[in-house]
Amino acid sequence: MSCTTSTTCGMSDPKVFDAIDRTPIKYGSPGNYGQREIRAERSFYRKLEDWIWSLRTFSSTYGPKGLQQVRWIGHVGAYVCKTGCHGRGRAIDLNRVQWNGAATDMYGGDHASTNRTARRRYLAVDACCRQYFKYTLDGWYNAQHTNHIHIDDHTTPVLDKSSKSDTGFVQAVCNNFNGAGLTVDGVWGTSTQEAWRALNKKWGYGGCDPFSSQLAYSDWCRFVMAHGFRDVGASAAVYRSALCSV
Amino acid sequence: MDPASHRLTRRTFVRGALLTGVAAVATTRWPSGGLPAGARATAGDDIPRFDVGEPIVGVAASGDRVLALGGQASGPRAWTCRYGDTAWREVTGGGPELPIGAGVTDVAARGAGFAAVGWLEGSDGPRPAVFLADETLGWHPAELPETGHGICTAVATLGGRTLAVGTRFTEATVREPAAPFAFVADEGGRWSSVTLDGVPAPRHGAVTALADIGGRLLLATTDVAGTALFVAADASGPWRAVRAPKLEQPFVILAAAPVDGGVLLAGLDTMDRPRCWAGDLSSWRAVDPPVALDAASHVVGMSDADGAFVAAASSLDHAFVEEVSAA
Repeated sequence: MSCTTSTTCGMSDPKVFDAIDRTPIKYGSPGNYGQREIRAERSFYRKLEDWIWSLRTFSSTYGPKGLQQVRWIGHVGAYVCKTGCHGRGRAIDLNRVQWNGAATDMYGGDHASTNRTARRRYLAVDACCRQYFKYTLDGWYNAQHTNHIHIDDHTTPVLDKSSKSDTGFVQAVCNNFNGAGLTVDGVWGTSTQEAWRALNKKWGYGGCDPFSSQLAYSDWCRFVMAHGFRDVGASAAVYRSALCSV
Repeated sequence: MDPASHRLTRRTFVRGALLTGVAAVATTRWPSGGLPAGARATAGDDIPRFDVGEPIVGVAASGDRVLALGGQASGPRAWTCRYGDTAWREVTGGGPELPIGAGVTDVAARGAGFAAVGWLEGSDGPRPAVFLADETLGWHPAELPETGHGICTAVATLGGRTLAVGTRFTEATVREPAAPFAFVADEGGRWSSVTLDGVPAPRHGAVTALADIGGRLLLATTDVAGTALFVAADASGPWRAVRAPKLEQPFVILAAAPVDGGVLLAGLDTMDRPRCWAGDLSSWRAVDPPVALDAASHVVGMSDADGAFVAAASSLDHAFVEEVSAA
């Protein structure tokens, strides 16, 4: 549903929670996190439950020992009466995923980390978000999002070449999993198209249209998650899909 | 003296309204104990009760006319009444109306008329918009400098200059705040861009309130770092940061008004609880929010002129106007 065509803020069916399917959600920043209740539209919360289930499944299946249990989620704001999806209880700004032995630290700018493992893990979390939430605005999107990932459910999550957010994400994935060397500028040009083709050929994604099908895009995101949590390049081809593997 | 017994005179000039929920209309009061001394509020009857099944984004007064502005996105509506009227009426047929495709977010008095802000939805996305009305309440779009996709979020007038502020979007389809902008104009003059000098650009945030607090403008922002307040003696700035109230959880300031030498702030926390503070810009004390404000409603605007008190509140799909006057 659209959440940006309203003149004022508010929710129609709010849910109060301090955990997503039993995983605590903590507000703050490093050294200052605290678990407290937040509110969101109930339908948005249900997508958060799907999201964390997927995050748990893929990080524990493909990740090392330190990614076996999602301990808590850090955020820096959910429902707040301001313009955009936050004002309708359909957005949250994530700034940390804490596992039992590692973390993805959006607050610390893991998307730009010098450590490739950290970058790949960030992209895995990013991909998990994109399965359920469009728009997902990450550290590559603009300066406002270098310390958190914004997720909302404004519209159906399919891949869109005209979307700066989607294209920047694809470019970052191509760079970090297949050494594409693209400038992450959010513009889908011929270089990005070629890198996209090369990446998918290498890790075996095909036969699906992520530009029109939510299922196909979600499946592509799973390729990113599997390789990101496993911390391997596309050539490792560690993920096989019943839907879109070739 | 017991504030509740403070007697209002008919001279008490009503420019205010308190909008609240359906079930609460008849009992709406701003608790006298919740207001600073000298700004005691009690129900008046010079402005008739008004209710509408639409959101309202603000109320402003110009002379003896009160204007409430709201409606759904792409379907803006305005309602008005004058001091002594027995009923509100929708503003239609008296001149150019707010255009279909516009969304409104705030309104302020401007000279003998009003300035409304929001956005105009075009084929390529939303553009910031300012609409000006004279005393006939016919609306005319203002010509604004090109600023890309975005919306205006707040407007206020000080000393004949009107300031409209808003946020740009990075993309037309992703309507999350990316960077602030501001336009300023003298009455009858051209609109020009102005930098909010002294206001750090909100990080994934926006200006949530702008108000004349008595010879100065107060501007409130919210972003991932929290809520911040700034004051300026001129619509063109510069702005000076002042202390914001503290809460144990995130909140936003949605309205401000001068009250007896101080300032009254109204806001909303992330649990949708109305929050109000009174203070002098250096310290704040929590005061009671309007009683009987239903859980889904929030205060969206306040102003003060010549001792009269203006407050407005709304929810997503209903709003009410009820006079509250300050002695």
